[in-house]
Parts: sequence; C-alpha cells; structure tokens
Amino acid sequence: MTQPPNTPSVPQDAQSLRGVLPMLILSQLRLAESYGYELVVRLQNIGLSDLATGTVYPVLSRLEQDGSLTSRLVASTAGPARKYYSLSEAGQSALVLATARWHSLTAIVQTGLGATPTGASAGEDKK
Amino acid sequence: MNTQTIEARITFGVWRRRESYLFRLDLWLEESLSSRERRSILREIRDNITVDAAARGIDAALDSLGSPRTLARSFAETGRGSRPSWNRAIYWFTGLLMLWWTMAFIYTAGMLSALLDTGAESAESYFLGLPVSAFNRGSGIGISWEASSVVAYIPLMVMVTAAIIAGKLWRVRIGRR
Repeated sequence: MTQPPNTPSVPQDAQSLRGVLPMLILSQLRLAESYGYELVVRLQNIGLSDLATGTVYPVLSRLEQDGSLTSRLVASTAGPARKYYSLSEAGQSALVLATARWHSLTAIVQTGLGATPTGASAGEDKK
Repeated sequence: MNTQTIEARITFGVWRRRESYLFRLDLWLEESLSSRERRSILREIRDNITVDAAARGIDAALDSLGSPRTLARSFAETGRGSRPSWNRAIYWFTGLLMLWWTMAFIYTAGMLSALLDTGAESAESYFLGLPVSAFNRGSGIGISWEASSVVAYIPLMVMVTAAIIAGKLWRVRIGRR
C-alpha cells in the first residue's frame, strides 16, 4: 500500500473520518463497483491507511438501505456469491450534495483557521 | 494486491475463529435486525473476513472489524430498533428447564434417602406439579418421574406461553416508540 503524494502523515481523527466516510464511499463507488473488503483496500490506498473494516461495512449497509447504493451478487470461484455495491441515481445526487457541502465547509474552515500554523510549520518557526 | 484473485482456502483454525466471531455477532445483531437482514449481513461479513484473513491474517481481519458487539451496534443504527432476542430466550429457557429437572432429581433422591433411612418400601409425591416416586425393595432401589400425564407438561407449557406473550408485548411496546 502506498501513501499518496502530498498526504500529511498526521493520525486521522476517527470522528472526522466518520463524518466524511459516506461521501468517500460514494465517491469511490462512482468510479467502480466494489465488494466490501475491496472497497476498504481502495480507501486505504487513497490515504486512509488506518481505516478499519468495521467502520466501512455498516456504512455500506446504511447507504444501501437509504437507496444511495445498489448491490448485486456475483458468483465467486472462491466461495459463495459476493456482494458488489454500485452507485444509484439517488447516490449520485447525494454525492453531488455532499461534495458541495464539503467544499463549503472546508472554505469556511480555511477562512476560520487563517494563518494558524500547522505542526510542521510550527516546528520551522521554532528554528 | 488483487483481492479478487484471493482464494478462500482457509485452515480449520481460521474457520473456527471466523465462525466464532460470526456467532457472537449474530447474537448481538438479533436484538435489532430481522433474521433475513442478519443472514445477509453475516454472509457478506463472512466473505470479507475470508478475503481479509487471506491477505493480512485472521488476527488483523478480526481486529479491524472490532468487537462483535460494537459492530452489531453500528449495523443496528440502520435497523428497526430493539427486538426480543429469541436465541437468548432459548438459552435462558433451556437453562431454567435444566435447573428445574436438577431440582426435581435432588428432591426425588432425597425421598430415596429417607426411604433407605426408614426402611419403607416406596413413597410418592409431587414436585412442582410433576409426580415423582422412589422405591426401596428387595429387588433394588430407584427413583422415577411420571410424565405420562399432560399435567407433567404444565410447567413447560406455562414457560413457553409466557415467553411468547412477553415477546409479543415487547414488540408492541417497541413499535409504539
């Protein structure tokens, strides 16, 4: 697993992650359908290296129940049929809305933070 | 790693730990989800554990899922609320039944002990509605419970009826929330 470029090596906050996880799942499934564990690996590969499988599967279940995701069983040579998730039309709309909200929030947070030093730059200031 | 090419060849140890986890998860899921929903979730989690265990080992796969109770609670947030746990009801019922039979056995053994002390040939009594007897004859000693009458099954019927009524009332109560 490789860490993407420009990803700060700061531990992820579980609460914050929980808030954005549905949006990230929708976003990944917009690109390609996946089954549960494969999706976890994809999310880990974009930088969520500490992501636990136990946080993803219930979200998948909820999004499917909401109608944001559809699923289909695909026959597997390795065992029983595997459940693949993909984005529904409602999920597309939910993703657009969530993305707009996220951009709005990050803009506000950026404004609010102003010139607050990050951990790295604070270290440089001390030098 | 291409997860799609991982074969589900698992050892007995991995199988045992996976199924143990899923059993506990099922017990906790039962409080909030229907059997159909549980089956679907368990089937999916079983497949995911198998693939994860092949990639990272069963320890990492189960650690990443968290405790069965926590995971079940996360799934329950999408469920329909609390339901009576029939599996646990069966365990409690079986436990109480065993306790009842054990007490009946001890009671009857006490009767036999009294017969041996007094030298009497036989004695008959009732234990919570169940006819019991003990004998001490030249041919041997013994205890018996008579279950030929429908009366002997009254405690069992009362317990089953109470469990069903309590379960129905529970569902009505939860449904009104």
